[in-house]
Amino acid sequence: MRIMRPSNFSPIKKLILLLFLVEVLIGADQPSVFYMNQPRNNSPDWLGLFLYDLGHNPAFFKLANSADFSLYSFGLDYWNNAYRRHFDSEQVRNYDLCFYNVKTLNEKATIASYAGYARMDFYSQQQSLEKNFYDHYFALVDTTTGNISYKRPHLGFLYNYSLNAKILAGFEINYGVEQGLKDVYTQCETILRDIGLKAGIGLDLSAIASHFGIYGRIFNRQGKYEAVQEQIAPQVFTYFGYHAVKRENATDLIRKNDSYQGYEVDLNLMRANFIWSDLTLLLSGAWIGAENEVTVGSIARPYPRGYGVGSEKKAIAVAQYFPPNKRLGFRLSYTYQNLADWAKSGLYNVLILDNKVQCHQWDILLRHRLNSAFDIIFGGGYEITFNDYREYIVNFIYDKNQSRTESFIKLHTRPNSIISIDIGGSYSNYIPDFHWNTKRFQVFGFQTVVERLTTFGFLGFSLNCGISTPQETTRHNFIIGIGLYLKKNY
Amino acid sequence: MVNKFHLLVLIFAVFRSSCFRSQPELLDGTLDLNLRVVFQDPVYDKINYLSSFPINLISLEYALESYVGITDTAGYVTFENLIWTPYKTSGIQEVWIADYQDTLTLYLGESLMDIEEISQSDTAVWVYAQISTNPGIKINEIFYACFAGPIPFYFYDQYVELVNSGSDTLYLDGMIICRVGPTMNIQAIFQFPGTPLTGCEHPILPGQIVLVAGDAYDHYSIDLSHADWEFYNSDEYNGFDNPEVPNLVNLEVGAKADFGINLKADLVIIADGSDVEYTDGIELNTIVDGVEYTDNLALIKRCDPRIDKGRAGVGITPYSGQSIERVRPGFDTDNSSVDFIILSRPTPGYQHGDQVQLAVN
Repeated sequence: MRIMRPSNFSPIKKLILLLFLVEVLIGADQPSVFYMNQPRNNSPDWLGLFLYDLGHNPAFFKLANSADFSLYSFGLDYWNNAYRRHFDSEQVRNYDLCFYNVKTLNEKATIASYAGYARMDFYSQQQSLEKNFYDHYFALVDTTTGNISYKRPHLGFLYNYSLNAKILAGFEINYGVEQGLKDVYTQCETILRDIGLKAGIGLDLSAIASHFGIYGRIFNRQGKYEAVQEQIAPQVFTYFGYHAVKRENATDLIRKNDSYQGYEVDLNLMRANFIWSDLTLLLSGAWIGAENEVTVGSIARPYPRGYGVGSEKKAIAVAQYFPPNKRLGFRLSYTYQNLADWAKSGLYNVLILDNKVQCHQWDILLRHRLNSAFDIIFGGGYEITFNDYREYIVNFIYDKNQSRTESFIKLHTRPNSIISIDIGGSYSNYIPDFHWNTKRFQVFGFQTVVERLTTFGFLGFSLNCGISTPQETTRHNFIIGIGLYLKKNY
Repeated sequence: MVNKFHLLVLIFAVFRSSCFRSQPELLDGTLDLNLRVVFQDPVYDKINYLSSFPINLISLEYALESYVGITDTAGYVTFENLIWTPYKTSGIQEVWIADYQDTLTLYLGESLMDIEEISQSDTAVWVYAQISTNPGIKINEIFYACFAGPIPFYFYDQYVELVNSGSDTLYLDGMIICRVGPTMNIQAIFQFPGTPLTGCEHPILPGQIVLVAGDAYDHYSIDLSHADWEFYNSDEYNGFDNPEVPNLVNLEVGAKADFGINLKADLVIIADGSDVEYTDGIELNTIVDGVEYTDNLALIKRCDPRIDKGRAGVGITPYSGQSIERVRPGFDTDNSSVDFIILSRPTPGYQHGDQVQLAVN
């Protein structure tokens, strides 16, 4: 998405997101750290979405997070990619540590802050000098297989202010850096700096049970790759799309520079008590545009390798019905995505590839409250994607449609007033992108979360695992992850 | 407030419409080139349009298969639906030139860099063929990149290959092989036995390829035990000397190393041996052939263009096992960018493409 190749979301990653954020089936790829790291299992109303969940408009942050809290969390994932693409790594370990705090300053102002540190270890990373080769239209590879360690501190700050009873304003800034180092020659070092600024405004029209918001976001990412060659100097290549390759000059130091920037405009609308009492309608529309300029060589004398522009239009419609005093509740959602990317040659003004993707996704979630201590949530989704990916240097067209179906079930229980337990499972079946070289994937997932109220706050433990199996092979990919968090409400 | 809201929308609308470059209308893979291969006779100052001349277009940007064409009776060749990239032309053909009443070996070596301008030209772009000249003893192959093996920094498997591209038997007596440094200083100098210029004890037959090994033994990655000659420095500590292979001996006073050349960039020359006073360089007119190679064209060229106008080996990395060799034995235009190609594996004692080892006995 956004100057990226066709959908490359790892199947297991998708599954884990499905499980971990089963209550939020949409909008999971939005880059807001203030959204992704909040466990919500302790909240009795956790199924109901608010506008902030769709668009992450900082103006609505306070409405979605009414209580102050602090959160400390630690997560560890282990991925074993027995079935992988050519430039994928064999195993991945992710460590994630974060601190998150929400504080109401006064009746008008709320601030949230975030500090996190992530480390990703890629083992037996074959050839690719990129963290994810399949994310980039202009990607560096060499001839070695080695281990790469990425370290990423990340900071975030959000300020939400009520201008008056009806008008809300919000501002958010995210900043992160990442350093990666490959442990074999070409000892490639990557440095990325990522910054995002978001400003939004919202109207709280409670009199007519409606909210309306708009925000803008600008983001900028600068990436530097430095592949240092020593005794046995591997050859470094640049990929243009998936098939065309340029052999880089065999210098002692190969530099690649990514300059990626863009902006987003997002509109949100929520109407409560729509037609029926307790039926809520949420609408969100976003337009995202980004450009990426890639050069190689020194900063003083860069050589152009390519330039690309990507745009995404996204619309989400949600109808949800979760009356507090009724056993049954449901949520229906529809997501439309339209991606259009293109990339041109660095030397000439000619198009070397373009990519058009349309995606329709329908989801349904049903809740049945058996009693005050036991909920059962189940649902499913269907997604169809229309691809039109073309490379012109080496004639290549990928225009097949992809589909995905998924279903899940989750049990949420509260045996007593201080403990809550979630147990869930899911199944997904989908057609992957052509570079997976298989017709279909089946993915099974399991997750459990146990949360207990202690004197320090809500202490939670989660366990995720998943298996994905490509058709016509006997190899299985699996992931196992554990998480620990402490959430203290004020 | 409404006005502020309108302003915000306006800012984003302007931002959206102005900040990215527009999508090119032209697709890659749509380039048409109309070329005409000609030979401009330097003696009679006459243009010859070369028919049935094979021409390859090799992309200088992408690692793709080359485009192959052949000229028509008027020397024209048209390539359609090419990738937009600078190209290097190549092609060799024996051509009967009526004015000479002889068959000449002509080659193509021009680069087509300004593709945008060429593509807009209404007329065919002329590509000039040139004559391969200077028969004699030439450096035919240099294996300098070495193989990666269990021993780190191993470089004893280097070799230099010579060939006699003339039609007469020539003699190696007293000739020298030198490694020339960045300031044109002689960094290594080894000499064949015999009397320079007049000696007749070490013949090299027409077309014969002579292998001169750094160390003439089986290096496992490559077997040089059957080399014709071996570099040897008697002052080298524990140096290897194959008693069955004759030696080129070191002339540099105080040098304690065997002949070795850089794994990335260097200049190798052969000279007739009439000037061996190496401290002030080697007389230009005694130099028979020279080849400069480099892995990086951004480095400053060190060789006099009268010896070598180009540079071979661009892209070769140390310990890759790759080698550079003339496109044909003795094919020499004094431009190693044109004369040499990169081989994925060395061919000690024989020419690439030949199935049989020709000269190793």
